[in-house]
Amino acid sequence: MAELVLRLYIAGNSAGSRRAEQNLHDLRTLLNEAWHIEIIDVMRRPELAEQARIIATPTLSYEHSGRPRRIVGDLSDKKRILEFLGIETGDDP
Amino acid sequence: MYSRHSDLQDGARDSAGRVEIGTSMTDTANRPNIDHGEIRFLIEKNADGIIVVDEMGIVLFANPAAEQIFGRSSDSLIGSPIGIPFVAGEMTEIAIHRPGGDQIDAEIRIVETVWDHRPARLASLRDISGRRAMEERLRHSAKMEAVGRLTAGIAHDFNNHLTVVLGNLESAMRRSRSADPLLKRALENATRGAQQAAVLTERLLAFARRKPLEPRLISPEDLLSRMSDLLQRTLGEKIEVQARIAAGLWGIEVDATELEAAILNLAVNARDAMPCGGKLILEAINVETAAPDRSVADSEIADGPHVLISVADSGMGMTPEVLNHVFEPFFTTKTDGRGTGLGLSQVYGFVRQSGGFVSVLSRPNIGTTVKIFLPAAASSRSPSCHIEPAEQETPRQLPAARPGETILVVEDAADVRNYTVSSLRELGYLVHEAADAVSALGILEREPGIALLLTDLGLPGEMDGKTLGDRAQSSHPSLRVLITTAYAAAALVHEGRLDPGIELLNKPFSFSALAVRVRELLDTGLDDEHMGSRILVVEDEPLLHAFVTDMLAEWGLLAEVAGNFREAVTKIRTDADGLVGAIVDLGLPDRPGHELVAEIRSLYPDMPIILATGYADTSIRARFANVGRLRILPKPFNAVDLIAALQDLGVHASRAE
Repeated sequence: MAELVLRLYIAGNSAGSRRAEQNLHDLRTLLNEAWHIEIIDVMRRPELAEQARIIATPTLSYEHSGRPRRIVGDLSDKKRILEFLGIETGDDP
Repeated sequence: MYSRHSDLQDGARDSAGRVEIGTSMTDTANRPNIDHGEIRFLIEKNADGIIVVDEMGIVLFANPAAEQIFGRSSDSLIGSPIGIPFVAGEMTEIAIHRPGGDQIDAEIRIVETVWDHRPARLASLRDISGRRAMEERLRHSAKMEAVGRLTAGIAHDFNNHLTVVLGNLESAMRRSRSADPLLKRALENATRGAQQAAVLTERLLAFARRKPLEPRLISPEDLLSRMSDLLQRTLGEKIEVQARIAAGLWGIEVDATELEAAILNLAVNARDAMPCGGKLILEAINVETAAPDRSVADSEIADGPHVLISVADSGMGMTPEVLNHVFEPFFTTKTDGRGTGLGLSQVYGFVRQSGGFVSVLSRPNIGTTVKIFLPAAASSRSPSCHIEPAEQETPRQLPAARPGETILVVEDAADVRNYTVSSLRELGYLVHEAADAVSALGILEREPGIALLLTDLGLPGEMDGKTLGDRAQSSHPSLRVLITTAYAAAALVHEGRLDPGIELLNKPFSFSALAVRVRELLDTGLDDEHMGSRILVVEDEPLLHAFVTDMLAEWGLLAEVAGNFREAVTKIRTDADGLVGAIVDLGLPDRPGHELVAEIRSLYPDMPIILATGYADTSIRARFANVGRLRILPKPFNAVDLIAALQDLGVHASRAE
């Protein structure tokens, strides 16, 4: 099975960045082992941010063949994010 | 902001609650032709940034405010893969990364919409970096305030203990002159340690803005020139010191010793930031308003003219995290034990206490600039002020008591009281002691001949040392009062300076400091009977009355200044005791000087009056020819003219030593 890569771009230690990281961490428990998560601090690796044309953080990028799909925000809307990743949760709130 | 979205929604809301904007297709896919001119106008002129993003997270539209926020043109934004904005709840915060590395914090709100017949999201963005920075500054100043209170409390108690330690060490040394040299050395070492601890508490108090300052009008030019010479000599060859001190700097009213210490602290930091050498620039200029450069949030900061003194280095700089803590006491990055972490704390405390403020700009590997803004003295926006020379400490014989001189010591801490009482007895004074204000007042009633009340400021019960002093003096007007304190509390210090008439002895005090201060105070009283006669000076020009005040002081006379007719009349009606003469300017702002002369004459027919005027022509002389004990003093006059006129009228003036 191909590896599914999620890249979270954050900026330093800001409250928004920490919140997004925590939310992604929580989401991870709902994902299977095929998912691989990378966290990139654009303050430390500005070249990666530039390469990926990141203009706002936090940005979650779903890297798969072809064009990456992205969402921007603190990842607090978990249901929508799972939808975005194409994962059925089954439990409707 | 949200309501403005509602405007849009009212215009074009479909059944799914989505806003539909720009529904007409044109020849290009991502350049829709917006039909609704009004909606377009609203979006274009909106103060918040508005972008429209498609279901793939690609920007379809950006308004001018969004161009501002992103730091990119609409053309370069359109087509960018920003990502689909997801917001749970009303809004969230994101960071915008602009070309060049700047970052802006923005609030983002989302509305689902339809753009070119396809679902899309309209995101409105508001730049909150300014608000964020303001909140951060408020938090920082609240933190500094709390740390300051804590520090002051610790330093206060510590000073009490140090008074006991240092005092007893001194007493032990006096008694062990012929003793074992090893014992003597031990005592000396202990004294040195305690003195260093006293220096430390002094610095803590400086940070907590509780150190009693002695502000004087100084010329920053002179002080800074001397400092730059000193820095050139002391910082070592590897550091090039450049002084850029503007000519004609305004006078500032500060404690010169503390300002020197502040600059020295900054220079030492600069040196330590440049281990391989570099450049230190000491700069000073007048600034009409300090507001744009402000990086502190304290609301009490006054706008208006300031003298800006900055110390810049080309050193390693600081990260924003370090910068956030630089003023905190004991915060240091000097891990090798060179730093106490109190240098910048002193700078901060001193400058804030002097009514100014400090800002620090720093970038890693580029350097640090610390800017000190000190308010220009109101009366001296002229460069012609003199710096007062620092007092020279000369070793002298300790002054002892005159026969029969009696002192009342009031102190609640028994060990401090015992030390003080035994020290004074050793100096030959007769001493009574009390632990609180009520028993002190009792002793004052019973015992005649107490010349001096030496009281701690903090006393148990409802009456503190200052109130005790006031009460005691109201029933014993000739009583001298000396207040001891570990820090200048709010009761004594107003706007960073001591209330007039308060005599203060800072704890910890040494035997010799006690001896000298007590003697001084007891002797001042004797001098007062001969010197210090008061002269009412009525003059609206601040530079001129400052000049007259100085001249009078040189001749042992005290100036009582009034700026206009009204103030002068109030002073002669309510506070005429000891007034031996008046110097009146003929041109006063509210009423003419000759009316004041008539007023003074009606109250005090014999009071000598000098009328100063730039128009001393015959008509004026004729007008006052019949007024007794009056001299006309033509402007400009010098000290000799003034004193001669006073002496002519029978005012006793003799050159003060």
